[in-house]
Amino acid sequence: MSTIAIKNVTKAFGDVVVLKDFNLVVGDREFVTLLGPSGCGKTTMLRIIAGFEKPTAGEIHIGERVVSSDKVFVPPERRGIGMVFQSYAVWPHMNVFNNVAYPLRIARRPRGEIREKVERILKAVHLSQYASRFPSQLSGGQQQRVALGRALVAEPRLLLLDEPLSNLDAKLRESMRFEIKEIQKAFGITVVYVTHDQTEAMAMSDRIVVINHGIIQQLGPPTKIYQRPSNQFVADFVGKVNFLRGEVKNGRIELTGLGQSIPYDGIYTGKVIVAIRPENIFLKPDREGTLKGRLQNMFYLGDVNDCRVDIGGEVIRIIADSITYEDLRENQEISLHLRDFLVYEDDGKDDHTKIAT
Amino acid sequence: MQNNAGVKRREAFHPSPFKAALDKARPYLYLAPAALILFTFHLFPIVYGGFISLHQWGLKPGKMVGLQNYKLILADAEWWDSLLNTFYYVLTTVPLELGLGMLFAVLLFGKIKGRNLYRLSYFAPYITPLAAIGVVWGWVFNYNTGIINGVIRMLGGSAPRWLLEPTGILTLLGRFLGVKIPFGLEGPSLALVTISIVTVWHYVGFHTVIYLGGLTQIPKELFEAAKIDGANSFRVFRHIILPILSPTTLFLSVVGTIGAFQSITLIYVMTGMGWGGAGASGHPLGTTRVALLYIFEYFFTYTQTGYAMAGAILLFFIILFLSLLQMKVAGRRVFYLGEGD
Repeated sequence: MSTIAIKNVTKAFGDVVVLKDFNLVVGDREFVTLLGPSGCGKTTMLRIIAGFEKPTAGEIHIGERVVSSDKVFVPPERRGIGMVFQSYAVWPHMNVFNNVAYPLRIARRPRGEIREKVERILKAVHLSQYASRFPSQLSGGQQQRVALGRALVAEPRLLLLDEPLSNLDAKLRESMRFEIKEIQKAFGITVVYVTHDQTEAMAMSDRIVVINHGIIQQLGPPTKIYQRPSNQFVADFVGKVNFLRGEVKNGRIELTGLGQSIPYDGIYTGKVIVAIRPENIFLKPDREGTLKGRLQNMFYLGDVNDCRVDIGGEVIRIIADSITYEDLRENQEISLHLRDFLVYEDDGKDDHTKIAT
Repeated sequence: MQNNAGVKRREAFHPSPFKAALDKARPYLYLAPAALILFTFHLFPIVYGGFISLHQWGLKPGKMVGLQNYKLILADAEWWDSLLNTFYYVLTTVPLELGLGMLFAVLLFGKIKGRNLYRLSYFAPYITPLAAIGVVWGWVFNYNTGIINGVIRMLGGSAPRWLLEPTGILTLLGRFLGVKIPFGLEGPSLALVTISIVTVWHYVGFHTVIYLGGLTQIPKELFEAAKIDGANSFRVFRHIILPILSPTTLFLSVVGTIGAFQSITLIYVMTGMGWGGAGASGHPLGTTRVALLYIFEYFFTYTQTGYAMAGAILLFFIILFLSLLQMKVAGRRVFYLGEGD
């Protein structure tokens, strides 16, 4: 069993509080991603789990054991974890085999066992034919696989990954996502993954923890995070979104300053903010849509047609089927149909939408 | 492709011959200032020194004698003694400078209070002029009035003669331990070892600072990854710091060896002066006369320029050979932190 329980963890560096009263329980064999903009505290949280930082207050449990509290502090090497860093952190003077074998050598495992385990791991990370290469002879993706192998070889129950794919190019990043996910399943380990890349988080996680300003904004599976973001920050950070101000009146939301309205039967009254994802707006050439607008410009991206539409004072983004590119012209009057939208109470502040850096 | 009217095609321009020549010369003009300095102060003196070494040359140019100077110097036992002294000097200074430099760097790399003050105090000897250091340490090691012997006598010990002692260090050790050291294995004289101690004291700060620079290049993640793997401090040093600092070590070793071969100031100040003029340097009994001091004497005291130049050229090739050797031997063991491709 390798669960993690983070209880009321607060971390401050001097006067700067980077984590506030953080609570999270990660289940056995679960893949949980800490997602947030840079400086949000996600890496600090991971380093606290690893034991490289000591929380100012709060407790960390791994499995049944308390590894960090007011009285207890278990150093990283005795927490039974593997860790992969953004910068690979492979030994430049050791070949792939020796890099992966290093943790076992330190633990003074017998020669035969080391060979057997390392070969198994190298196979899992697709590096068998590179065993005698040095890191300088490998690509970034291969180096990161070496790091992954080294983190896995001692058979930790818990694997921590700190933006492991951020230094790789886009194509490689995509294929590595699936590899990491597959390895996690094959080895049956619990993973805590840190990233600022929302697609990465969506693709791999069982649950995502969206963090901003050291506070959990939302915790849930990818579908929930994307479809029902609990606040405007989450809506904005995960995926793309258009925000429009409005007011609820007689079963409709009148969009402020636009002279248009959309039907609404939700719980909010008074001033609200409407959040619409660009892919939830459909272009209707005829006049039967909910909103009307004028097509300002379009960008053909192959798979989609990325459009900006002026709806009477506000420009919103619409991601349409790429086929529409052929049929539409710029400055054309068009009608818009909304498949789905979200409504938030307008508290007059727009803090949530601003991403901290 | 159709060109717009009014836009001339580029090929239509014929640059003036002057401009074409300038374009060709441009890279060489950029290189010229550095090349001029290198040629004037580095290459020319070597070649000219080689030229002089083939002549009977005193204060004024004399007749060409071919390799006569080389034959003479290679037949001189004192030259071979001076080379042996030089090797002793290199071997008693460079490894210690490297070892202590790395030790201090690793100690200063940690989070300790007043780290900058320590760094400064380690570096201070390096920025102190060697001549001043020679005078001060000459007094510290003075047989009669030196502070070290003062302490030793106060404690009731028998004071060593330090800079006056021509006996080999291994012989002295052997006497102390009651072991007889065979002829030829006496080692450097205590006088030379004393100078080596001061040399190490002087240079170790430089090595420390360069090693510290190397240490700060090591990404924090490497230490953390090692920690997770369960490596203790010794293993971190042995498996991470030592290999990753290997390029720094090679650099310091080559530079340190070259420097030690070219050393003269400290030796000249500590055992050369006040012993009957410059002509009698290398005291006691010539056991601190290193190769450069030998050359120096023939050049300045005896004004046998051609002969001195022959020594200088030989020394040049010895240093060159040793530098290349170090790079060749170390090449396979040096690892550079790299991104890969």
